[in-house]
Amino acid sequence: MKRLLERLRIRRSISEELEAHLEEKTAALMESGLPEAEARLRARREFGNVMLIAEDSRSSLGWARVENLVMDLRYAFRMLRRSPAFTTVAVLSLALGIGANTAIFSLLDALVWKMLPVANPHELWAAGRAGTSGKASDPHSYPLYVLWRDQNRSIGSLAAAGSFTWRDTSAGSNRAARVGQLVSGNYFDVLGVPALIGRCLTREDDSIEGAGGPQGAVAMLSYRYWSGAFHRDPAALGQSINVNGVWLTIVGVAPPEFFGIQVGSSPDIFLPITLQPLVMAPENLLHNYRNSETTWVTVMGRIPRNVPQTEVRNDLTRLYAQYALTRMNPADQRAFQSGTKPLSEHIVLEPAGRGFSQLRERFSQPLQVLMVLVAIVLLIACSNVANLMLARANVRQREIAVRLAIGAGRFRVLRQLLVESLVLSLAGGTLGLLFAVWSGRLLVGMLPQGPVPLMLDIGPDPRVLGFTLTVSLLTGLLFGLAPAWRATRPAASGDLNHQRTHGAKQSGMRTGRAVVVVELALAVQLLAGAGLFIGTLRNLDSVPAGFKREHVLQLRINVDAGGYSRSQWATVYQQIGERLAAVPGVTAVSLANRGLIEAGVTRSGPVHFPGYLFPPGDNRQLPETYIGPDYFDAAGIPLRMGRTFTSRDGSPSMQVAVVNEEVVRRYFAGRNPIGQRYGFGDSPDQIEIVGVVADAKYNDLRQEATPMAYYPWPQVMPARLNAAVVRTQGDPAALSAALRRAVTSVHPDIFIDARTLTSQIEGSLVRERLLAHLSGFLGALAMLLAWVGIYGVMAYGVARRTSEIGVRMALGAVPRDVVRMVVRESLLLAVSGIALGLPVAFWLTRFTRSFLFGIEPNDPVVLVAAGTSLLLVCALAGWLPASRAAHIDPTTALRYE
Amino acid sequence: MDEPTTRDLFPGSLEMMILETLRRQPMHGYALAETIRRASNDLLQVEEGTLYPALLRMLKAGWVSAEWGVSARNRRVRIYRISAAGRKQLEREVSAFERMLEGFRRVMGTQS
Repeated sequence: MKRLLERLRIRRSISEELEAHLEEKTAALMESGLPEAEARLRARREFGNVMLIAEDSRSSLGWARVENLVMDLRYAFRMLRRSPAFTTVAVLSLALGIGANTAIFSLLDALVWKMLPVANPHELWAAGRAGTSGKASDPHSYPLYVLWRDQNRSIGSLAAAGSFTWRDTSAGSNRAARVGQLVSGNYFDVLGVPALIGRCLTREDDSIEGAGGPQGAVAMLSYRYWSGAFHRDPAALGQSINVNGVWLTIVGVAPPEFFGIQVGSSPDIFLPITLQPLVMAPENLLHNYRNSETTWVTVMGRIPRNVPQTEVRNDLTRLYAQYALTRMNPADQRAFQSGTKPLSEHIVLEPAGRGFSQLRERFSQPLQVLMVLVAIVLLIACSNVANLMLARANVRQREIAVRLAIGAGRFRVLRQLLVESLVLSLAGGTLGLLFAVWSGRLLVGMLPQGPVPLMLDIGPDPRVLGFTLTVSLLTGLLFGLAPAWRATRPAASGDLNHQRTHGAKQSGMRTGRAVVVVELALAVQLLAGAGLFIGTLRNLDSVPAGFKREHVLQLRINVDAGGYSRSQWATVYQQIGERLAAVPGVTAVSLANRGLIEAGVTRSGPVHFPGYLFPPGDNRQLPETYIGPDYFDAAGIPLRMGRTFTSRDGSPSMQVAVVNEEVVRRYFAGRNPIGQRYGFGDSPDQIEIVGVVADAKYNDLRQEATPMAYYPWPQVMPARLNAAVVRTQGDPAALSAALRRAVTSVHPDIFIDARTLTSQIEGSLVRERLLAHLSGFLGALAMLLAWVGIYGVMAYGVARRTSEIGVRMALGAVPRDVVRMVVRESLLLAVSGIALGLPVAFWLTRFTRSFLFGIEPNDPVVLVAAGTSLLLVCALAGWLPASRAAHIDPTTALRYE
Repeated sequence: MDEPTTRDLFPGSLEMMILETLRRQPMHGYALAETIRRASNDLLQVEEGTLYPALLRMLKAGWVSAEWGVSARNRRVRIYRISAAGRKQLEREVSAFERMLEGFRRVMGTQS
């Protein structure tokens, strides 16, 4: 390196050295008696061309390439500085294109592609159960995990983890809701994650059920929580922390990059899994009860490359069969053992190296669609810049011809032009990275937020930086290569004298037009996509939901922290309902087991309806909702027949139900069901239907009509009522504090979270909104870029044809003719672009079908609108140069030549 | 009339002369050219257009090093100095040259 620097120094001072040589020689000649002038002349004559010698010397020193590159860069910067308008437009459009790509890439990478920060993530596998429907679910019951952990012969250590929420009661924490992970003692060992300070949880720590291990109840903190609550003080080790009423000793802190195995969530604390009955009291999930099985732990282990997966799967399946057998009734056991009834679910292995994420399932596809859209935007930006470069190359034809004429090789000039492109694209990439950091945060903000904030690290890590750099370089080559190639073609630049010949110019224009046509065709794709996604969002926003969205507040309630037993639930719910109803401004209120537009549903079966024969294979499940008397008023679901519930309903001996119209349609063939009885299993007529209400959307707005039965909640106690639906007079959000106070007046530790129904619905439409807004934005961007592209080509064309237009006007053309001529030309471009783009869009949009609602992929209105708006943009873009052309003064124009 | 010859006698001869001259004493470019001219009794004149590219080539090869100094006429000049690698190269070249000269002499001798 030192030698390189020295050589660089010598290169720079060669001219100085040669001048010194000349001086020495002159002095020597003068000493021999020559007069100074003659000595100087002779010295110089004998010496020859100083510049040439310096150049020869430099090239013999090597380094020509680096030197040339530095020169190219310097020259490129000078050229770009000289045309600030061109540079600004090019860099900005590239920055938007590259930035949009980087933003979507970083989100996709964080959510879908990136590996967990653990040792050898490729070896990590999770056990899942796939039912006959084929859908795998990850969580299992704890007893099944224990069986696998202790008796598997194929995989060795198996780790388990489940989530829980807790209230931070430490000083200054504002009783914030936090997430924790209950993990098996070997969790950190299996993941290969070391402690930052202190120690990790170990096998001993979860050895005693309900107590922890020999060291008592211990906990490991996340780096983030340690930073926030303990200001990174190592003295946190050994201190106690209260989690849901349980005192735990802090034994370690996890490394900063480790966020557990759930992408998008970031647990604050890790506890041994055997503490579950303490921190989630009164629920004990370490055992199965009667027929119920709670599946809540994710089970994973390492399968080294040399161990076949089938071996592990068979081993786990064998144990699962053993487990399932203990939970069957005697008849099923016999059937299973005799081989006539196989297991309803089987074990599958899923790669776990990327962690788990619900967001991933919901958003990886929409983000991939967006990735395609932003790639198209970048292509448009590229073609725009390519076009600008082409126009510039034509303008610079003389300069390039001179450089070729005085002996620069074609490759040398080509490289110079490419360096200019790369400087542009790298500048665009750098600016784009800033744009991506900013818009990436905006994107994460658009993702659905739970009660605990979403933690997604999309900072520009080396992967993102590498992506941006690669994209920038490819972009530079893409838009730079063709114009540079053209510009240095011997034919294009061979003639210094006739540099305004028509041949070269016309073909330059042709390429420019072709590029614009492609650009417009690409813009059609974006506009079609945007139209479809925006249409979908609008359809969903206006689809009849079956309930009234406005003026409703939905509460999520959890009474567990109050320490009630199951038998006390009914009383507590009753109290909560009364307190809520007493809040001024509340017009109707009802507790329920679930809120409106929430994922998941409770079902019971097998159901019997009088006179209805289920097709064979139907699982005969009837979805159900437990509600209070005012539920239909609160939700705004209209009653169609019969009556709603009163406070007298709910006695287990006189069971009643209100069903929706879909039940009547499906199971009663539209007949009046009031007074009819239905039931489940062994008591087929225990429930009387007293009313019929309108269908509603229960899970999300896309849902087709599904059967639903409503029961008065006292009838099904003990059951959890996790929601309250509150209809208010005025703005529902204004009441949330008063409602919270009303609930916590029953018990201060009851968990409550309030959301307006409208924001709940918005949350359920995040995917659609993300697609609609971003594709809309990208479509607008595409239009803007198309406008710039057309404008550039037309303005350049008008400038070229100044003299021709002058002649036309001298011969009697009026300004209107000129305007018409130019606008017609730009419309011709538009029509060609649209004609090229529409068939492609017709084919391409079919891939968006699964994202659409109430609109067909090749919706003619959308396609026509996309075409028309582009036509409009093109006409507008043509108008400016056209009116400039119309104001050409023939005499000036003719002199222009 | 005896025109001083500027023809490169054979490949590497210029480098050999430069190295040999520098072996005796470090010096700057002009002094080097003058020394060679004088030592050859004006028979060999090194052109600047050949001298400097050769010097820098040798610099790159690591046979010589260079640093700024002051000439006898008190001018700031770059002074070249032979390096250990340069000495080795010179030995190699000289012995190769002598072998060649020996062969040359024998060929010429048999003919006379």
